[in-house]
Amino acid sequence: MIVLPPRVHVVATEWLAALMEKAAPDFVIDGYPEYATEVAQLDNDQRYMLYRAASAVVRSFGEQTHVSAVFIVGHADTANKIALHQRAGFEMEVSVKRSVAAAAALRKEMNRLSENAHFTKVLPIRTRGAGSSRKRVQIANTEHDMRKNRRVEITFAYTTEPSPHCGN
Amino acid sequence: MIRVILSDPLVSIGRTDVYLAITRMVQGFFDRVSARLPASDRIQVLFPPGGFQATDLDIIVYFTPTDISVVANLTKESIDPLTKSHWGWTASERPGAGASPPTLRRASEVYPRMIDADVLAKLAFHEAMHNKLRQGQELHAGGGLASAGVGSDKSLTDINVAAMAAAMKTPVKQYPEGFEFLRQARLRRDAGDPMWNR
Repeated sequence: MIVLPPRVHVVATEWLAALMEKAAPDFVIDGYPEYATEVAQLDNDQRYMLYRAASAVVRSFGEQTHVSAVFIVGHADTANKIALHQRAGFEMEVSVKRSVAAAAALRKEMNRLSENAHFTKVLPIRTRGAGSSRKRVQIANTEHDMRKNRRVEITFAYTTEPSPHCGN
Repeated sequence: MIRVILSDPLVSIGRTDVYLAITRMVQGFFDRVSARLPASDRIQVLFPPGGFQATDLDIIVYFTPTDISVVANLTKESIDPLTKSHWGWTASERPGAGASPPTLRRASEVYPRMIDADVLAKLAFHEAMHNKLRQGQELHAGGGLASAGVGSDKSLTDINVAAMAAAMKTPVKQYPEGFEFLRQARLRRDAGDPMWNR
């Protein structure tokens, strides 16, 4: 678990992104059909995983240690149907789109679960694409294995609030 | 009828059940205060979803995210949220020429750093005490919900109740304009303005 000093995410975005990219993800949503980027294109189990991630964020705000930033990395499988010279760029584009779409879906679900609470509107969600550089199955010959590679990884950073006290 | 108005224009809490729980708990605290007043001086706690009007007998407590401060808006102080760790604050506007404390407006706010109805209700009562008793740090010596640390381990004491009962009929000018200040900030935030809290 990454626990940050209060509000460090506001001033140290790149440092935070580098830190979170190295951490084990809290949630992995995989199973994207080939080149699909939207959460709506996933099956029920994977969409439920997004719901669980949103629910975890919202529930955390009932605790003194709560989520203070979310980092989403999109991943692609090898795009075998794309010409070799265009492949890396295409894979990067797909992975970025996956991360951005997952962020939007996560924000929407957090808003719904929290009844549009302020913290879900301003919670920083950073996105990044990794192309096919970090495949879970290096040699994916089956659709099942390929779908393991087509994924987004969601990592949380936490902040611990001070004990309740008055400022007067 | 004296009213304690809780207001959260920026939806810093969100969940309906938490609003209801906070209202119920704060009403419970003030029911003990009411019991020491004449029957005609009932105290009603309400959490209106929209705007409101307030008399000088009412108390307004705003719930705001830490990014923005109604109290700072009233007192014209600049606040750096990076340096603040408190959960609530009450202050009066700065005196101008000829203004005396009874005519100065007073504002109270609670920051929901954690969505916990019990803690937020106690903080709301604590800030209401600062507001109505016109006290700063000296309030904290009173113990119970007057203590500086207002966690779930603190309870309303008879001393707290007696202090508030003695002050409830004393007019304290409030700052209802804080609602519009926060509502405008909400509009800017929802429009995507990165400077929404400035």
